[in-house]
Amino acid sequence: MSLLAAAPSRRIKRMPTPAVWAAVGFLLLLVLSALLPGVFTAADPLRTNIGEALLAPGPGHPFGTDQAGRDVFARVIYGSRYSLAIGFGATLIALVAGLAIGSCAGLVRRVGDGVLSRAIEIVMAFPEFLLALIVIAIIGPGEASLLMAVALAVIPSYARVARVQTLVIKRAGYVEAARTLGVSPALAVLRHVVPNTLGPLLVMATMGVGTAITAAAGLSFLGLGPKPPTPEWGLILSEGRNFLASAWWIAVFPGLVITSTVVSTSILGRHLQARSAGRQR
Amino acid sequence: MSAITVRNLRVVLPGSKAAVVDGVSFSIAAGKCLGIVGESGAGKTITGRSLIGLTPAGARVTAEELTVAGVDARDLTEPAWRRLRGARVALVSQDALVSLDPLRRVGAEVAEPLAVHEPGLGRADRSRRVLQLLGQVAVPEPAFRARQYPHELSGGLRQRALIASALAASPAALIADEPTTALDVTVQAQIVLLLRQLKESGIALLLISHDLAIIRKLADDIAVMKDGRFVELQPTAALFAAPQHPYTRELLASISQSLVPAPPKAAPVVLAARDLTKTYGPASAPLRAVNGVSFELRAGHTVGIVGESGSGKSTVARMLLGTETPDSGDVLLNGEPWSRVPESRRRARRGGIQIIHQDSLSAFDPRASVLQILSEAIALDGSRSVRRERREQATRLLELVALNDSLLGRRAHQLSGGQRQRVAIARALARQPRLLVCDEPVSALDAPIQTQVLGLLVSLQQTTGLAMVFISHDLAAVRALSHDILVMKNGIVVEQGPAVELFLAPQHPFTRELLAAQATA
Amino acid sequence: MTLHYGQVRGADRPGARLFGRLGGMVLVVWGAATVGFFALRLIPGDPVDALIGLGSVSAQVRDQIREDWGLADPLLVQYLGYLGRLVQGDLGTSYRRQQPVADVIGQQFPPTVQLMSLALVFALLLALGSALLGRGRRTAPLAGLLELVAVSSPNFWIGLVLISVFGFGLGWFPVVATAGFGALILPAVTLAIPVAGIISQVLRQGLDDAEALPFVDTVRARGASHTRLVLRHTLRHAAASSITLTGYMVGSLLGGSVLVETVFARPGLGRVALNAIVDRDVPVVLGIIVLAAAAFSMVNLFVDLVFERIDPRLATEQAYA
Repeated sequence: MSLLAAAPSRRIKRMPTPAVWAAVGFLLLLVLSALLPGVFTAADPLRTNIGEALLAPGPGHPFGTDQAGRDVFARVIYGSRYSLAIGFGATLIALVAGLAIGSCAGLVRRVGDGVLSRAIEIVMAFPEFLLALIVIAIIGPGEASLLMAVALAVIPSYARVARVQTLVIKRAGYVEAARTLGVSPALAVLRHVVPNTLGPLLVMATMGVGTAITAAAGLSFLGLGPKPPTPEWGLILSEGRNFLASAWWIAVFPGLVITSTVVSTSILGRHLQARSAGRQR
Repeated sequence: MSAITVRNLRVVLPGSKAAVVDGVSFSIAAGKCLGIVGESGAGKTITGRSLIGLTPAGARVTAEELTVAGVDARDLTEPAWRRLRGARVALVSQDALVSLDPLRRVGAEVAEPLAVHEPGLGRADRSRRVLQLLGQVAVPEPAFRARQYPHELSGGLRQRALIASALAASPAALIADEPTTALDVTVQAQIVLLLRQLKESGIALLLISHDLAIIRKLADDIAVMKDGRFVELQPTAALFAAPQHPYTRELLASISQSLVPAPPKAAPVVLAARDLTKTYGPASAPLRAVNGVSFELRAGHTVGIVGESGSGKSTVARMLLGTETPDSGDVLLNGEPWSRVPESRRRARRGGIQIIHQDSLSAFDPRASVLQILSEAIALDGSRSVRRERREQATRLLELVALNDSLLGRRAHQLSGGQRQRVAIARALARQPRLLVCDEPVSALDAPIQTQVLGLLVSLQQTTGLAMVFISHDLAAVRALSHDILVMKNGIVVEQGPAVELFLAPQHPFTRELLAAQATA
Repeated sequence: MTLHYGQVRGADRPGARLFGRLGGMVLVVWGAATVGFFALRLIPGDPVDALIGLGSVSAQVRDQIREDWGLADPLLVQYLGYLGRLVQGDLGTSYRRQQPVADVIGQQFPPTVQLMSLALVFALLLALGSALLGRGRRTAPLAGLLELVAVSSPNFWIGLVLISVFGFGLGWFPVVATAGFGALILPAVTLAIPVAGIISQVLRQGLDDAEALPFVDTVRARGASHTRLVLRHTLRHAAASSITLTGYMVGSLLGGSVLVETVFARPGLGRVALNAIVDRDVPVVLGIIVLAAAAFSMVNLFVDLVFERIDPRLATEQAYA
């Protein structure tokens, strides 16, 4: 055995690091701001005040104000509601649907798997964002469409992982061991295959929440989501685009929050991944 | 003059206080071989790597003397080590499939030491040298082989190529770390012969192995290593004639012991295999994995199946278990049809035949604790036992395999190799089988642990009257347990009979070759 | 396991394999066209509305339009007609622009390909630099953080930040311009950053994994320097694992170009797609679906072929699979 192979990989850490705690803290704050925005800001995200238009960030307005004098900080705080609802909602739908489709494909050999995996392959031929766009084209723009579009766009990825994972675990030594012990196939699937498939999917979903939020923001940036003046992150960014020369803050802060959200979900997801890798090694 | 001299070598790994190599001293003269034997974790590999400056990053290596090919190698800088490595001292490690870069051609791999140490050499000269080197280690058709990739070569040829690469820049000393471990016994013998020729040509050889039999064939002196120290260092003949240290005696015993208990008389036939045949691949180019294997096994008896990898012995195991259906022939379990009935009918009888694998880590659900692993098997007897009873039963099972109930909460990856194999046995016993199929059950374990696990299997057989099929590439292990032996080669049984007769008077040339390759005590 | 060597089949000869893959490609394109064709029929409302835009016309004219565009035929006839024209390379006619879809896409193809190619070059350079420099004791955490931020930032936001810093703030690049190489740089960088982050992650992990392989001991035991080890051995292993990402990368470049073209107000396929979706210009949307499927299939074919060159084990394995 190689000595170098025995040395632990430097990137696998099992104990939560400060970065993981910071990520969890940020996500909790975000959830709290979605549930109780009033705790974070007293300002009304929709109240216009032309006299205070395009104010730079300062004591009264930590993120400045927009062209209609609305408080950008309040808009970002209230916006977390839309983004989180779409991020979590779409991911949950995709996770459940992907697990169902993928495990069916993995368990039902021959015809079922052939058809399903071909279908997955064809849908995967499209970049997720393009897929979401096409879904919007079919069901029309709006908040609910955004949720469905993002969910449908990522289902194939979950289904694919679930299928591969099911195929691998189905052939794993411990499933064969259960079989030689005399455990019935249905029980073996329930007891060994499904739980071991779910683990990697949950890790994927953790990271997926961030991706879903970005995709939703992108779609509403293109004007395919909620209508102005709804305080939605992507929409605020697209409004800010027109004022880049004079008021950079309108576009920069919501983007910073999106990025921080995605970074946090990635850190958390990687941590969970490292932990489960440590458990399964 | 000594090619390698080491006095009081001590290596401390980063993050630990205890030394993994502690006070080791030896010297190897040109044309001589020192063998270091010991179980994994004894520090033999680190000792070898200290001589070539490849200890893990951050390790502290100290010695009163550390001379390698005339160079004082204490506190060498990395660039100084680089000038030494390959040119003065070279390394051959286990399994060339992973020790050669899989993405480069064999020729490029053999040539690399030349590229490093003789950069002035032209392209044509270099490839001439590569062919010369491959010829020197008896690789046939060197020009053709040099253009192939490592995975396209057989295990033996690959190992020869690895040795050729080590020899490329004409080193004075060679460190061979388990150079034959991944190979079949007959190929092992060829590589041993090659290493002996190298030694006789004047290279100082440091041979590291867990396998005393291999070391004995090459080494002039043998060092027995345990927990970072040499517990014994003696000329080979003296060590075998008069081992001084208790651990050495344990090692010697583990390779020559026969554990076979006297079989019960007039026991019923538990398992009968009749003319088993299994073919893979298309009809146009069939590959007979197993061809015409028949035997009978009585309660309390063990039949050993020995053969090299690819001989079809694991396919036999799968057919016995009913996880693979034979193309023709059948298996009778307790006199009733087994291999030709539908799986749903077999399931109720599965408890009667259980298996122990070589790699039991993969045979356990990574999420399950030992208690859950055992409970799953216990619950299959149909009785609706409560949780507490199941725990008691699990504890009793662990006692049967000499384990403590403190392990119940552990997961498989938290167990040592020996413990894992015992848990696998306990799980099999939970189904109260009459027959146990053991497929290389101890091959992944260190020698003393192997002896313990084999001893456990034998004592279980004596107390429960279990019948066993024992499958291994290791003739010594098969010999230690079996009443009857089948020798397999290319899917065919070349020789079959009572163990005693087979060892005393082997009939088939392949059996004789196996015996010769593994001749030990 | 040696047994698998027995399973060689005739269809596994290189020529037959390539043929099989081309068949798979056709299947993917056909599947995408079919799914797309029927899915787009689900769009609520009358396609005639999409055809005539905002004006209002009489019922007779509506029927006439429906007749002219073949929209009155049974769905299956429309579908077979579409497939028949598709085989001849005819993607239909845009509802909105009243010109062939192939022309609409063809005109907008060059700017998007320029953007994507330059972005790919930037991404590879950034990733290679970060992977080779970002593996030291001190540089590794920094590289890891940069990768994470790069991967996590929405590219439309990156674009806005770059515009306000380098366009409005420093004035180095034109903020909105459609012609010239200078106008291509900011959009290409924007598109490249997330992709670079992903490639860099995979490359660095690939180098780490490769350095943990046993053959590395052998290479070092030959006296090879670390530079030689990386350049001659492990980089090749890392590249092999990155190549599998190519399909993903092209997809993310294509998807990203929709946003980046909007941010920088550039012409291109992304804009065409977006406008077609907003206008419900079904033939154009369908054309883009078919194009994307064909592009994806070709990229995957290319990846498979390159992969076998880099990792000879695969060629053999597949022959015996």
